[in-house]
Amino acid sequence: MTHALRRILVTFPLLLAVSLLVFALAGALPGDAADWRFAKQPEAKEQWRRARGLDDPFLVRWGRYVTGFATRLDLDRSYQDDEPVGPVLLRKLQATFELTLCAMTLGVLVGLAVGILSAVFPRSPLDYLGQVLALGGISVPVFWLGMVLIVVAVKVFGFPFSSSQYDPALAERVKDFRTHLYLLESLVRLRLDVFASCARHLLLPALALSTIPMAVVTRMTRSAMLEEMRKDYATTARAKGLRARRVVLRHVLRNALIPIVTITGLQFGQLMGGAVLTETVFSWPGLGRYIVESGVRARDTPVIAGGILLVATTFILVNLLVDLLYVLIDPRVREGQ
Amino acid sequence: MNIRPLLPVPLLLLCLGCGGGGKEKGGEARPPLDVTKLLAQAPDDADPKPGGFFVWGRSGDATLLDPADVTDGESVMVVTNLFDTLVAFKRGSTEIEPSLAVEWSTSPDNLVWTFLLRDGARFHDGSAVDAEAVVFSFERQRDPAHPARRATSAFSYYQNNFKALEKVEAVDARTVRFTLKEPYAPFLPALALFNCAIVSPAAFASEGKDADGRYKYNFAQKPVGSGPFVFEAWEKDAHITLRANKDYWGGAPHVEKLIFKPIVDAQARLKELESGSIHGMENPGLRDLEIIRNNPDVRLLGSPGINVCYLAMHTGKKPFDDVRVRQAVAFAIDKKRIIAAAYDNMAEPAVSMCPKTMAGYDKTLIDRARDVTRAKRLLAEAGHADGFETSLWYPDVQRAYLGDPGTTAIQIQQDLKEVGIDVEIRKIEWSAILKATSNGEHEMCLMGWMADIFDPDNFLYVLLDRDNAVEGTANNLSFYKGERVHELLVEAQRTYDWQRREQLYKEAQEILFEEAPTVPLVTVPDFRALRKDVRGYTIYPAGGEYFRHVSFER
Repeated sequence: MTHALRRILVTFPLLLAVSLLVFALAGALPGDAADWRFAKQPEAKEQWRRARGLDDPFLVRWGRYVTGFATRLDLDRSYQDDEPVGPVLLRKLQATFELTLCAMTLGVLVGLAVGILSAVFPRSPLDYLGQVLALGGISVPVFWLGMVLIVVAVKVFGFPFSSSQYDPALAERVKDFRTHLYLLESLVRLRLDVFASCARHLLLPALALSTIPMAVVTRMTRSAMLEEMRKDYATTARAKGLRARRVVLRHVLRNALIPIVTITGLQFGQLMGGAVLTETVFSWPGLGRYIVESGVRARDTPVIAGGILLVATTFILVNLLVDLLYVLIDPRVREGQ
Repeated sequence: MNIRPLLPVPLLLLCLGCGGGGKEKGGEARPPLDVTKLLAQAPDDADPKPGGFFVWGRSGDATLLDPADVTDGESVMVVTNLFDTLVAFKRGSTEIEPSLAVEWSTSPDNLVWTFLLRDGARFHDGSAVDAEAVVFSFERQRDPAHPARRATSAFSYYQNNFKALEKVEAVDARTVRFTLKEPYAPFLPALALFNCAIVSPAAFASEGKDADGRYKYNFAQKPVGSGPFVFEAWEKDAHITLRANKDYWGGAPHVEKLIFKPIVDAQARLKELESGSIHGMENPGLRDLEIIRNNPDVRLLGSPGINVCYLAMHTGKKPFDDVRVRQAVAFAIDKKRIIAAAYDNMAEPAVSMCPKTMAGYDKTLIDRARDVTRAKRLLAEAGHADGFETSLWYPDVQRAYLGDPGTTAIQIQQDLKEVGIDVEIRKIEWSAILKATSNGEHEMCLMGWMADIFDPDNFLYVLLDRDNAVEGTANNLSFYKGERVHELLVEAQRTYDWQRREQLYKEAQEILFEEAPTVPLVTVPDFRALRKDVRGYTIYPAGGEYFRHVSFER
């Protein structure tokens, strides 16, 4: 337990450092929100800059931001519409989470299966095919793949392609939803029409986004499995008369899981903030796209800072979760303390 | 009195998708798209069938929905459906017609304008559209201490367009009086602009005031107007949904709901249109126009754009202070090649900074044909026989008038190299280039302009008058300060007789052509694509989108 506690405590200075970095970077962008909003109105610009304290030294602004967050969980107000950015960012985070979760599930399931099969039948045609696909998954740019998926789906399969999270015509049906995880919530509420619409909207972006984790997991599974299978305990188990399937799935896989879980956690964190391209191609109303389009473009520092902090927090949390998973998977981590 | 601040530009819509000529696949290719051959489009909305959700695909989400404070096209096309203005553009035209104001009159000196409001018009919250609401809608833009103003409110259109406005008063419940400081000919078309939308004072007051005395109600997120559609929901980056205003004074819209859906990628947008999940879209990629023309499920609409893309030379800096150097640059640039390389031939060369599509354009101007020898001779006369080095700044983002900024800049660089001018081209981030060029930090820059107010004044005075050449706030990016041009433009601004104005603008354009502080490059048409079963859609040349007449063929 102390292990987990230590990890959680380390999170705070880490976030503080991230916020400082983000503030410094956002400040380094050419031009600021006032130039954008009050182009050609120098007086109004100065007045607004004063009102929002933009003329204060950067450390003062950062201090104010951190204090606001620490005392009131306030992520400041947007420079564009003067509204608190926190609630909007949380909504966007959920949309990204839904997409990432589906892409990761797809990626990990397929990746694991292909990786295990490749390791069990090394140098077989199956193995080569798996490796080529994995290499392709890593190399193919997702925006290109996304476009190809759309064209193929519409032209070849007559798929009724529609971007975004759900059909806006269903807005009334999701009005009372508590979360923005529309796919999950519609399933829980058994609103099958909404669920079908959400699934249809999610399919292509999740497929496009899943290729990278799929490829990474495939390669990692294959190499970790191969390494474990060469070890003595695997030979012993086989010699003892255990069936091959049992050796692979119960013993080898369990030991190979540690690096796989690690890489999965890292991938998940990465996709949470780095799905911008997929979100753009499929107009998914996610966090990455929001940071770029509403934040960076309009120099809206609170949106940029809050957004990146959320991504960083998610990243840290996921990795924390991974660390805790080790304890479950590998008794040595538990005993080692 | 001859109040005719502008001539109606004949509405020339083309229905390219339905155009005959040529053969289908496998045979002879269709003739290339010719945007200059515009066909009048017959109205296709006789006997409309009510009902249905109309989904409009566009390239981005709105930023705000406060009509006085929006500046981007994506926000504008939403507010034009939510609000009414005192006067409005006729359907698909640039002519002004009554809207919330049913009639108006002016004093003999043209300084006092009195408007009589429509009886019975109501805001979506049920309150009446009266003279007080009109005063409120303008006062909040004028008065920095007005409670219906937020810290972020810039109201830049008001700042730019209503410098001449002194006060707005309610005479009685249905009569409003505007008093001007000086005659301002574009006043009426300026009133048709979205920032002059009449907003509901009751909505603002509905949640009380904060400690600073400002209304708490967030109007920019929950707009209340009197227009044909009522605001229903906005989920950022996902959709904005409006529902039909059944009690609209001009007649309820045909569709039940109007949904704006941002689809960033032009290709993805087109695929959604093809698969039927949206019913119409803006800005198809220029390279996709042929695909749209060949798809039997969709059709292409176009309208000549009212915009100009231009090259500005800073006339306050050497060597561009010499008119011969500027003329040499104008002679060196090959507009046709730019149009082929950067616009896929889907643009028209511009001759004047006032686009051909705008009343007041000087039709007698004949553009310079590209002439390298003449350009070199002019440079030699100016003492630059061996050429010189300079720089050209261009924005990093596409604009309606600048489809491919990088390619345009490279073409200009190559053209100028042939006459001995060595140009260093620099790509600059959008907000940074706006700031730097209005500070006059550039030597040459690529920029453009779209009509705000439908009047030649909006191009010539804004982009070339010395009043707008003040460092820090300049729109006149060549910093051209010609005295005669200034006299002409200011006189035109104060003249209400259209024929006289046209003469003044003609003379100004002739001088500007000779003086060449800028090289007008191109005017780009607007394109939209629609599903075949959509009826009654019209492009409004002056900007914004209006969906009141849209319906579905069943």
